[in-house]
Amino acid sequence: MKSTSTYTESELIGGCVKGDTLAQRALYEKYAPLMYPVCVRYVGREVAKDILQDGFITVFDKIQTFRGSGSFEGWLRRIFVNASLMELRKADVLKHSSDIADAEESAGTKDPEVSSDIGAKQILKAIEELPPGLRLVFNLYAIDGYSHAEVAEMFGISESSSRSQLSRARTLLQEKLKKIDYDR
Amino acid sequence: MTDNGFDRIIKERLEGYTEEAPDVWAAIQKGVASRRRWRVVRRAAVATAAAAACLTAGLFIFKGEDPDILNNTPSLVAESVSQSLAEESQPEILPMEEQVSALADRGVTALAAAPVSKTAPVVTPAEPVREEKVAEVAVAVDTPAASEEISQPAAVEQETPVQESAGDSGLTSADIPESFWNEEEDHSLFSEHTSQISILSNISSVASEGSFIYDNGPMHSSSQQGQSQASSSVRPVQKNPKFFAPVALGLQFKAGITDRFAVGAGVRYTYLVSQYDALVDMERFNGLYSQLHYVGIPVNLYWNFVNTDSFGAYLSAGGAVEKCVSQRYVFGSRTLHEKVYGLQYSASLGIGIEYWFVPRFGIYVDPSVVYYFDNSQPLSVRTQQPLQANFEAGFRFKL
Repeated sequence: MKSTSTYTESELIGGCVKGDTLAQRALYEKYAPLMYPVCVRYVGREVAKDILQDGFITVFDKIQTFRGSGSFEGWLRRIFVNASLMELRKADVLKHSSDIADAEESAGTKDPEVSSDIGAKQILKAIEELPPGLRLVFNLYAIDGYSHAEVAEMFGISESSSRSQLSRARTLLQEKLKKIDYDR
Repeated sequence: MTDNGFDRIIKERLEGYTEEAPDVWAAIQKGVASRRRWRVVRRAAVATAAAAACLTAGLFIFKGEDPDILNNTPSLVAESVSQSLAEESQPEILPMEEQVSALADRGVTALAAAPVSKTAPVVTPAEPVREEKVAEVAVAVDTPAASEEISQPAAVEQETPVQESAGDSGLTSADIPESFWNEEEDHSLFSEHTSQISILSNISSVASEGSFIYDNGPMHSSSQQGQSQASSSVRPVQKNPKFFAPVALGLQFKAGITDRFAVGAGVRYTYLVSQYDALVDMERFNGLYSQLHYVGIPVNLYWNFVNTDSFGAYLSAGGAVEKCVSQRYVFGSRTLHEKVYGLQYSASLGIGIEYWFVPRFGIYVDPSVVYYFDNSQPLSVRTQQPLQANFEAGFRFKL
């Protein structure tokens, strides 16, 4: 039996297209640790497990549609982000979007430095602690590269609301990171 | 540092970050197997529906053919083949004098002919030449002993065609009921053909609401990840869209397979209307109307458990394939058309009753439960609530 680590990416993809369980298992073991934090970023740790599961089922179901024109990891990431967004739509996280509309767009954070001692784990924890609406906009815009127009379209809010929410998310996140740095 | 700089730092530090994931492999395997099963079932259903549609279409084409087409059925051709053979072979038999002189010219003797004429030759339809030979040889013998033998082939010539053909098919004309040859009687495989004109609508949730508006459910259908929605310039954003009762019109042909079973296929047009708030090219419109026009092919198998002259009751099971031929949005004074990709598949189970006012005209009602598969179709009552109760009523005509 082939070890999961000895598969090349194209072998993994080819095996999964054929429905080879070993290749699916290998792909899961290789990418689950990478995709799980993506899910946690969007939906929090409690729900991330379900999203991880649904996401991989979708991956194995749709893998034959991957044409190899872009990065496979990027393709996977989009699937997990979409799965997370579906969950957030169901939960209607933006129903408390009055916070968004009311949020003042800051002119820029005065001291947005991030201490070099703060690692990904702390950053992820700080993002997790953001209110769901702010977390969503920050993830989409700042990390996954969506534009305000796209965020607004996806969730039925105005672009200015998206900007305000992002600004508020940055401020809150910086405060949390400072606190983490201070507590160390 | 700018805001963008802050974002970049966060993004870079999270890049490639891994964390031990909870073990969900078993659940993933189960989910993959489940989806695979569904795919197989769906493909089988589509294949069955297509086969049934082809079969039904073939039956009606067959029904419309000349009744003589039945003569192509091997087990039923005995008499017609024998008659045609007799007709074909008769003109080729020469008058006795000519045959005698012709055979004498060829030097044929009675000794050669005698064994052949002792028994009636078995001639197959594929070998009509041998029959001619028997007649010629027998007649050619010019001896008293052979004269007796000559009379036998003459008799054979009259009777052989029926016997030889019957030998092929295992039937003689006496075995076939006289009524079979009566063209007015229907000898096709199917006992009864009907056509129907139907009007149907979904009653689930609509009936329970006491109005024609379904007003419940989450704001997005799962099909929003589908191609049609992904490319759409219209995005539903309202939490509670309204769905008006769908209305459909159809024409279906139904053919009895046995006394109890029948298969039906036809065409159906369905009109779905929804109303919701939506973003159109990033601009929000409240109360936008979405109008969907579907044309589809329903195929059903019927089992009659009550079947009298004027009344029938039956169970039905089947499926349908539908294509959205038009999607139109109406908002304010503007309209927008969008193309919808893919097909909508559904499966149904129902129970129905029919009443025949006269032998060839009746009415029927067909309540059924229909499940609409998730085929990335635009938001409608079907995507919102895939399991629907349908109510269908219409007229039936016997052909």
